[in-house]
Amino acid sequence: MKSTFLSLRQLDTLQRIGDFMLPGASNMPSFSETDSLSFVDEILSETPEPDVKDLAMLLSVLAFLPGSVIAWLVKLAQRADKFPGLLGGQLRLLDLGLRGVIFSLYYSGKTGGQAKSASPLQAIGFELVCLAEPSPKNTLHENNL
Amino acid sequence: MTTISTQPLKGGGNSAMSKIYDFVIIGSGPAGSVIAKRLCEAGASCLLLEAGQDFKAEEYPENELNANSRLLWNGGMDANRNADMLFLRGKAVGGGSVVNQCLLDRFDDIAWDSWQQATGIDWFNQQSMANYYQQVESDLSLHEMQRQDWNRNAELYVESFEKCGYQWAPLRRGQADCGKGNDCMRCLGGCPRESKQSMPVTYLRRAIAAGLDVQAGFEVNSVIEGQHFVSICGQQQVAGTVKKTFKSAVVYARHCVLAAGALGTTKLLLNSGYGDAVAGLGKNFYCHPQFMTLARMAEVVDAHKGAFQAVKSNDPRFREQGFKLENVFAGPIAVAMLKPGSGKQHQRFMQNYRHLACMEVAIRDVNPGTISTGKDGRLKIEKVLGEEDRQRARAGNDVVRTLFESVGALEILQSPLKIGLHLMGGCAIGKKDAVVDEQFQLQGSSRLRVVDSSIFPNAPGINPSLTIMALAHRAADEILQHAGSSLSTARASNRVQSASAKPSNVEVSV
Repeated sequence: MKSTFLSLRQLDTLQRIGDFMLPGASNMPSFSETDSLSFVDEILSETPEPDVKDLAMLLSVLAFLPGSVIAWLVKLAQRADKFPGLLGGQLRLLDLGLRGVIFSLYYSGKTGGQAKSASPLQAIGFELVCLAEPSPKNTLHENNL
Repeated sequence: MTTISTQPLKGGGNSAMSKIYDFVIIGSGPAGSVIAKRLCEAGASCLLLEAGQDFKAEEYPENELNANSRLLWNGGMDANRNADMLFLRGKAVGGGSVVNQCLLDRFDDIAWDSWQQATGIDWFNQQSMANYYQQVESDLSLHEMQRQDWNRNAELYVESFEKCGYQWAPLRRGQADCGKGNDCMRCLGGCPRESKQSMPVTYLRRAIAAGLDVQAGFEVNSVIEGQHFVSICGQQQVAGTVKKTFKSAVVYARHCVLAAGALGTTKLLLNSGYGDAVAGLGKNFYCHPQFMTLARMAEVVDAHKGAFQAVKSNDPRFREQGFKLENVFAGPIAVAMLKPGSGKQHQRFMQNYRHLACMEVAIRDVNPGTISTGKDGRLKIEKVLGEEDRQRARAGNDVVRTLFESVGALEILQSPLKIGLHLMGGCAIGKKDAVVDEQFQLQGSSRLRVVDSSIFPNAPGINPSLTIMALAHRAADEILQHAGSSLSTARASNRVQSASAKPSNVEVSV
């Protein structure tokens, strides 16, 4: 797996956090089983550079921590409301950032080449249909303007 | 006819960098596009700058991940300082109109009266604005949602309202032909059918036909007013790289219209150094905070199928209490974010996606926030709910719970995440000491006008899109009236030049 924005170690850490957050349940695959991490650059290429740097630095630090400590930190961030003021805000940002990246990848339904399961969207039965051919009726507004 | 360019601006020759336009318009959402169309049709030379990319209808992302990351500023993760409220704003040619639901309601007397009271502007009333509303309404294809448009989520909404004795009404939406069997939730990432009346298929299309130049991928960092023209400085994205690269660029205009939205316009003015000179800049920020409630039903609801929104609350008691209830839903990524936590339990909840019904409380917030920028120029948004706001949210959420209970919900989840979709204020309009005067002119400036939701003096409690466009029509009248004779002269002059086929460097002088 390659990323223009994250190192292999950082990607590995993100995968570990992903599997902690989405371990798999019933017919829902785990995060790593979808190989959706392969698409992380699709998010990061559109993310402001300072935010990408912050994420990379966070993952670099977390890479040295044992799984149990990462799990504790993730759970702590998810209980941010219990902490007032600046600390609560920072924990909420951490929660938003991590869940934002991991849930976006997982529930995008994108599965990478190393996927060991079907997409989670198949598991929940999500499908959107929109016939993309513009109908001639849709050009009516041109006469109106 | 000109086309939309995403190529970097170049100096020299006849390029945008060496030309002095009559108007540079910053932002291509509903306000910027209406203004662009009106000014171009009047004969002015205009350049419209948009930080986001240009998409053809068939190029809009199909996937929720790509729609979020490519069509929203910061992937939809702009947060307040406390990180408990997210602000969503469009970043593409067409701005917010590409990612919204194009719900087009006029303001009522309550909204206009509160604006008149806050600003002293006497044309803030239904009668004075009627012509402008009418112009927009006749320019767009409008559809009042019918019974046959309802999906099961809408049916449950109506069923619960009727059981509990609350009033509802059909929604009015800007759409031409959504066809049959299509799922309009896709519209949140841009309408591939060109049915939704977003700017790229309506006002912007006509503006381009009238000669508008559009530069996509151009993020403006500052505006500098000179004696004779305005320099608009920014960064042009260089296409074709995974890691984005930018080139500095400057364009020039005799006048500049700021239409980058509440956050975009305010940020730009602050970063251009107007914060000290213009008291009130960055204040009075509102966003109609929205609170989503998901209800797990025994039946399959498939709230993501069919028409995304079809009905709305129309109960005067709700209006009095300062909230309204929306018939909405969200894609899997958004639903996953709305439910706190993670783990197996979270995944089991998501497995019920097709069984989820949804309603949303949108409050008319009264506690203003502030917009500022840091040393790095990035936005800092201070927005908290006041006691009155919390009371409104509680009242709305209580009603939603009652409504879902009345139709047999098995489980009800009221998400703690607050979302701001209607971003308003920061450059409030008014008669005296306001950021913007009633001619839409920035205080103390003769070359900058502000024409977007940043001028809102308070939260109306009604979807703002139609009123933003109506106000843009009014602003165009003001600008053209101010420019009137010189534009007519220039048009006449252009016709003569065209007939004699002589090259000329003469620009329209405004």
